Amino acid sequence: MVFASLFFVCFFFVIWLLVYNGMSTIRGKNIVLLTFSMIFYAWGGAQYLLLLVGMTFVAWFCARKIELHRDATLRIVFFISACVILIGLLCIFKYTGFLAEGFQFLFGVPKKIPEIVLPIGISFYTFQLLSYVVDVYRGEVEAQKSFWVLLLYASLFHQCVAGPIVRYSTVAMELEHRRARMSEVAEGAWRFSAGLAKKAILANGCALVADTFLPMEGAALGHMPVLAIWVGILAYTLQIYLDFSAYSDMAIGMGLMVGLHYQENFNYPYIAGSVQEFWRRWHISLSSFFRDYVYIPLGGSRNGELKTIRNLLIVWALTGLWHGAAWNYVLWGLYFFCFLVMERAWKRHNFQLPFVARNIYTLLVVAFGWVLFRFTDLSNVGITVKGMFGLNGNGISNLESKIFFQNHCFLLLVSAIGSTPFMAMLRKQFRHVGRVWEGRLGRVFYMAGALIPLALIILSVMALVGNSYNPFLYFQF
Amino acid sequence: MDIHERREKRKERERKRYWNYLKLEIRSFRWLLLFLCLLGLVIPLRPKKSNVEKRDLERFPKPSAEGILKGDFFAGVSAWYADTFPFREKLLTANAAVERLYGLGKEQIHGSVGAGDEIPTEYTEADKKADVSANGKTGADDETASAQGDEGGDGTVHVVPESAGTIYIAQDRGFELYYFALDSANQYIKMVNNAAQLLAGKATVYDIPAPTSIGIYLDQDIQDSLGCSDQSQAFDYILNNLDKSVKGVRVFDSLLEHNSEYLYFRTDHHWTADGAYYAYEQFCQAKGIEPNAREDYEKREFDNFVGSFYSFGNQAAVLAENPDTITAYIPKGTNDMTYVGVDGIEIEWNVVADASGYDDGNKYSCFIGGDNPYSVIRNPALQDGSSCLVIKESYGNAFVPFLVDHYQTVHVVDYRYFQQNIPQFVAENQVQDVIFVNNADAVSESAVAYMDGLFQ
Repeated sequence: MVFASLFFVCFFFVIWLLVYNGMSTIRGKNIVLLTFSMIFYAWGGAQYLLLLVGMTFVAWFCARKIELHRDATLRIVFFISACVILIGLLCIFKYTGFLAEGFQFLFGVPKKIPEIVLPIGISFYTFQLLSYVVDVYRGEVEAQKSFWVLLLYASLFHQCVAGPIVRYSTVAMELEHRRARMSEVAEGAWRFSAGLAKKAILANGCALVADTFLPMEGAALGHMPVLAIWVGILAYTLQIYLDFSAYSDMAIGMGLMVGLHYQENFNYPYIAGSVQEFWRRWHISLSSFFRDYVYIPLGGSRNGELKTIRNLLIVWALTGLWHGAAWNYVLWGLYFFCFLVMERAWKRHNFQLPFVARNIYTLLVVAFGWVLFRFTDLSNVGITVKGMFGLNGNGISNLESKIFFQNHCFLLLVSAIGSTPFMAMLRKQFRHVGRVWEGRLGRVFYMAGALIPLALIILSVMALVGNSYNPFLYFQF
Repeated sequence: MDIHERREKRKERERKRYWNYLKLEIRSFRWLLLFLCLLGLVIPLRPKKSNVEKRDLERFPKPSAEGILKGDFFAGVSAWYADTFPFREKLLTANAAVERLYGLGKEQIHGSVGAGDEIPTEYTEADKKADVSANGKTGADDETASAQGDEGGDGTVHVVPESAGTIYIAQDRGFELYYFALDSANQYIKMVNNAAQLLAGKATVYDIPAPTSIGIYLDQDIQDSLGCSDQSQAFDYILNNLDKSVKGVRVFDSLLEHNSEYLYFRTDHHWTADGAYYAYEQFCQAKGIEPNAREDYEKREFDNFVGSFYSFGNQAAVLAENPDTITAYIPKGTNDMTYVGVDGIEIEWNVVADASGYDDGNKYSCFIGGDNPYSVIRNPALQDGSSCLVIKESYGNAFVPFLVDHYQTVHVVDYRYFQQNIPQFVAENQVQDVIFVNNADAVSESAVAYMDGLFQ
């Protein structure tokens, strides 16, 4: 089930809220949450539920053993077996085809590439379970005694299929003791509505522009004039942020409605002044996962420049691979690695530009990165790059691109504004004015603040009705 | 009252207002969602067909163990839930209004933009490259023809889920962008030549490729800048490569010459009866008969027609505000006909039916009852045993009425639904003329495959 669908918004979510709020004890609430999470996950194919439950069981069992045993060897045996099983399953389901293709290319075997369907959300919940096992091994959290509570953590439908990758330590307490405060419930409703609108209206609209100007077929792509390619890249850049962060918004919003606090996953990445800063603002839960569980254990930046670069290389190759089992994703990760190494050198030499220039540089690097991200077929990347500089011989612009751009220019503008903190600031001001100004004017601002989420939901429902077009970018993961 | 007390009171009031605000925000959110949920549960409110999109909506899926395990069943439920949401059409219209705010809309493009193959002057097999680009673009290939509709006859039900290619809207008129596909054209040529061979000695084959409005009405420069192919050249290519035994009828020039007249609808992709009339004139010339003068026909008019460019052009307001008027000419010999619907039921109908009560989007169905697998018109004014068979898509509908006065029997088949073998049909019914009427976009792989199937 995807969040930005009528069935989820108008049915599943509402029924869940009703039943959940009807429960008076935390136990009852947890049972409801777990049941709905199981249904939500089974919606994408009941057979994969088995995998989720099985992997959670492995993590739960090994973590318990790790905690119970004092003996270091036994602890490490359980720790390693948990990691091997979890990572192994992830690799089997996600990378078998990719590896087989590589082997076939090099050695001519196997003859047939196995086709394995990627279970929904496996990349996300595997990482959650891994972080849990590692944290228990490190003694940073207590192992969860109840399998069901751990299953609830791993399968929580808020974040199970599209993130954020919530650390067990973040929600450990709240899984068993939580209260939803009124101000947070209201905040949650806001975040949920805003996320829904971001996805259903803005991201889907940008997707239409991106698909028109950056079509997946090489032949059509080769016919695009220069400006169309650039607008297409802009639209895709906006789409991918709005889409992905919208799911995090909805997840965080749903969490707030029931007293679960997930960490922020995006912090307006497109206002970053460097690639490094971009990655501190983009998909924070993933970058911090790699930082805490790969980069730092490898020694981080404490063992000299050469080792640091090696560590960065490993992290970024893995980051690339995590996003999808194809070479373009690996290249995409390594591409960022290059810029990060370069920025380290700049920093050492105190090389500094004004913010606007740094921001433009960052956006260009990131936007081109999305071209790599978009095309699994690397020859299309080549066509796009040539097209960016007019080397496909299609001129600067043509009538149809001009018209199509004109038809969508305000949408792109609103999407760009929506990618900055502007809307959040505006909302804060509304609240502030409503709070400070007594009398009618204050009430108007308060009312407006309360009614905007409603308007967003109604607009989103309309858009979803009109939109059989609803690609879910992150099913890849 | 001292200043502290006042400040405290003020703070208290602020808190209270804030509290009320939170309550309002949470309650309104919950009530709205609850309302939507309840609305979604009122099954009788759920539509089964979409008039705007001219298609049947999703049905509730049949549960199966495999479907549940693999998730297809649940995907079907979600699709059904979304596709048949109550007040769907109203929500679509409202959404289209919102989408108009996405940008400036003097001219509009809906659908993806492609590019045509080069049109050769001599017969050429398409190379691999042309093959790829043919797959990468839209056009009549998108026309999914599945015969799953039902009823029919009242003119409000649409049988084939229609889908158009890329639509360009300028001023108050829509156009469908035309891209030549060499592969499809070659297959079309082969198919017609093969038909002529199979029917040699039994019937004469006529081929009438019909231009679409973009080729007749839109300035050539704009066509070029849109990357469209030249229909005149495309028809030349097809007609020049037809077998000598096929009588190719070139109607493009005649239509172009009269392009100040109302030959194509503004809001729909079809030609008008007047457009079809010029094609009929050319056909008569090819056949060597005298066409009827237009003034001699009894005329019918149906206004407020808002056709496919509206529904596939995201309900462009400029089209709805400028509806078309359909003019129909009733054959002199008879206005009676019989057709067999997709359900196999035979229905008595009119060649030109009264469409004034039809849905605005469906009035083109006034001609020969719309698209049906098989229709037949018997003209009591003629007893010479003359008979023709029209193999057509919907462009043929406006054309057929003009043939009625020249044949004792006019058989019409829509190749997307007709199932019988044509050579056999021709032999059994002693058909003398087999007439292909196809618009430029119907020269597509899928359409040719359908037609080819009728000769296997």
